[in-house]
Amino acid sequence: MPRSISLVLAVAAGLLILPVSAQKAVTVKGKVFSKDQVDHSGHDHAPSEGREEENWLPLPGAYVVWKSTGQGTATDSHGFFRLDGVEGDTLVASFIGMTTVELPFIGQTYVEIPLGEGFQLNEAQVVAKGPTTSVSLLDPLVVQSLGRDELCRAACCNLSEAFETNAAVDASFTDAVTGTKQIRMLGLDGKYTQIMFDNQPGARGLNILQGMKFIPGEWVDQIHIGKGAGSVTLGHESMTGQINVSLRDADIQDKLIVNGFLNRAGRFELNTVSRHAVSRKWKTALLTHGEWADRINDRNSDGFQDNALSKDVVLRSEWEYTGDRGMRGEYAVTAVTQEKESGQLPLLDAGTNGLWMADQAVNRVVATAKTGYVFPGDDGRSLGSQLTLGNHDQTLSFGPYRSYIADQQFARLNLLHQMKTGRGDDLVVGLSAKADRYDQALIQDGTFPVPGGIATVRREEATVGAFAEWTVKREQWDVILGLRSDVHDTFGVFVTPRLNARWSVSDAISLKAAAGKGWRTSVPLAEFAGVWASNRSWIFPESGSVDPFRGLQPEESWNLGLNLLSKFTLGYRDASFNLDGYRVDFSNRVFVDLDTPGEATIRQGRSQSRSAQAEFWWDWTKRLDITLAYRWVDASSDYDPDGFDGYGGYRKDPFVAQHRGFATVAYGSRPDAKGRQWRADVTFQVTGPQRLPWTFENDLVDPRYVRPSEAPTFVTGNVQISRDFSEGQQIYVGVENVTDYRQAEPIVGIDYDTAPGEVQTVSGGPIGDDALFDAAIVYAPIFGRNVYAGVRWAFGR
Amino acid sequence: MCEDRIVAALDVRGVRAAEWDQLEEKATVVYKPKKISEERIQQLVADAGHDTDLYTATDEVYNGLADCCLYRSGCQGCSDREKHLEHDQDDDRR
Repeated sequence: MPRSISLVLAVAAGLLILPVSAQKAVTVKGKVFSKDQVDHSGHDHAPSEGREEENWLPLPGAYVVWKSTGQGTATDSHGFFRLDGVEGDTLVASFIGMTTVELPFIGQTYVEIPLGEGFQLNEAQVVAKGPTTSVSLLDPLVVQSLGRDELCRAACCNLSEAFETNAAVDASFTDAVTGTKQIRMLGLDGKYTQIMFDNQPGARGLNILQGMKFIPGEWVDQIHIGKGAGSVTLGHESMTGQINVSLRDADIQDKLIVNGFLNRAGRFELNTVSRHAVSRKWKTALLTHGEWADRINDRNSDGFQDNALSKDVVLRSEWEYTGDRGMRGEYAVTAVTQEKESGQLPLLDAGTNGLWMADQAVNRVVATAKTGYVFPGDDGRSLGSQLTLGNHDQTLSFGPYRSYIADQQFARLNLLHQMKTGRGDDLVVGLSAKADRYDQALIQDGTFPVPGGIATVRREEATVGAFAEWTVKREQWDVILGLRSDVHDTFGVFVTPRLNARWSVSDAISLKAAAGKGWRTSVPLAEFAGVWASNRSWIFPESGSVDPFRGLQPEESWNLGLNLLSKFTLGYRDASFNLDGYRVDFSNRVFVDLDTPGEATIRQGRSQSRSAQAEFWWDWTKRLDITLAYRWVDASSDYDPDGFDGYGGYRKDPFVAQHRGFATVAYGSRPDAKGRQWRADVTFQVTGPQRLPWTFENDLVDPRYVRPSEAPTFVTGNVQISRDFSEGQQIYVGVENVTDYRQAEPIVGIDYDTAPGEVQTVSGGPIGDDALFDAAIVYAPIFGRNVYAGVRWAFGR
Repeated sequence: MCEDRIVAALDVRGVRAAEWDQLEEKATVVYKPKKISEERIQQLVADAGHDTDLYTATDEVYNGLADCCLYRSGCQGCSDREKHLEHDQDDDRR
């Protein structure tokens, strides 16, 4: 019997604003199909003429899992499945001998996933335009997921630049010399955010500042930003939150993706991601990155390069195993080699001391192995292991007299056993062990550790721990209770409890709470890398001792947070509003005090951060969506626990803006029949005043050494226009820092009154001899407007 | 698959929002009557291959659809799907 579909038509008179409407269902149901290769007699329609025969049959026994958690199910005898959904995650459907399909889940109630060889997968993209960043109403964790589309909204050459269009994470330059960017969350340094690559330790130890830089944007599939106390199963090091970056792997749709990028500053990048089938059970992906920057830029004519010359090569080979009986494995090796050179231009006769140069070299190799086993027939029970082994060597040399040579060997093993309890709740128990060995040598003019000499300090630490996490999921609420206990070979036992809870006030409003502890041991010289771009002398808690780090205690903090998320329709179109507040209280924090001229004093003590953020997103029209956000932070640390100096105990943390406003607009033209589309993205940020390290005492030497105590408010913006030719084929052109805001006189110790092209030091002598020279008081961009263009091309879909 | 096509077909001036409910086989369209008529919307959906109250899709377009979108023949997947959903709900009560 012929049937027609029904149309429900609602009339919009102008921009009518509707009250909050119900949200879509939480469970995703769907069906997996395979191409009918043998028999299509079951179909009651004849294949159409002149067209390739395409019959799709339900596929029983296919795996459908969530990409982020690996949890999932198998399709039943009709090819159907049903899974509890988290918006923003990706469904991965697979079947032995067929292509694996990934489907971004944006809250659809029903999805159809076709598997097959050579199928046009762009048909599987259920919705062409959806939110590129999403937070779930149902996940008790506050996790913001950034998909590929979000990453493609800005230049995003590497991970440290991927947060330009995100309000929750700030990215700022560490100094005026190296071009290193570091992130901040909840007003605290990136080192307090646990950064994971594919759920394995990413940026930590010596790699903590640079780690993000070694992941090119093109390698990234999704970024999950978790605010507040996260899961204990990943470790104890998350103090402000967790960022998990899931990298592209052998499951990409295209056989080869090539990305080329060039910017006005002369940085050229070439990235590739390719997949290769090896056998029925093995497949592999090769990810490559090459970067060259060999143009010297000095736009502010201060005689110092605005950004570093660099040569980077990063390679990653990933192997995936899918066994017939529930065995899964992912094995990868990543190698990094980087050389960076920046500093003073050879304009002057540098005399006997030479120019003030900053050179960095990094060599790094990491191997990771993830193996999982899903018990057959036993619903939801699985075993997993994660192993990481690595070596990181780096040599930093700053100015004529100082260098830092360090290497780190590290190993980490995490074993997880996941099961269902009687009422269907999830229980994960596990064991973990990690060990780090650092060999650090510091050459600092005349003070450490032996005056004028070199000595290597070895530090070895090992931690073993056990954890359990219990997830209770109900219709209206969820609770995740986690507890871990770790034993550190020097510092003893640490207990890390964490609680995350969700309560759905209504279908469209959910309230989440998080409380938890975190702790880590710090690696000061590597963590405060920005300070190296100065002639400050490091002052250690136990200066003069053989091991100057000996007095440092682990950093420990409590994190409490509340989050309100509401999704509704505004003018018949989707919108969301998110309000959150977090507080982080450190019982001990290791930080660097830059308030004394010529010194970088490593301190430890109490510290706190309070932050609140409001974010509004609206899919305004079919073509346009907007995000508006405001964030308030108040972060301060105790500089004077014993009350010795007269400046008072708590001081605001430097380089943290108390107020920050943020607006983005994304435009997409109507895709034509071939999927061709124009897109435009505009992001503007207002950064409020930031406290700067004190320089008023420099007045005793020369008034030109003094900088303001507070940075001015400034506005920066990014604009990008891209053209999609079809799925996976794109060119883009953009402008970073479109307002061309540049920090005035970023380097202390240079006479900015001299004629351009001629460097004069304030003191008149070589910069290397000037103890007050400082290129690390950087609160805003140095380079100014920067135009870039790139191409992204996929082959062999 | 069906949703993509229907939503894309309704991506025209005057339509503020369009949603496709696969289970109910129902499209919800919000539009501005001054800019587009109901007839025109029905025509657009029919042009994309789906019969509506007023218009019937041409066989040429209809036959170009994927199997699971062939609503005219009461597509095979649909009846199965309903049964399956009932079955699922039973599971939940377990």
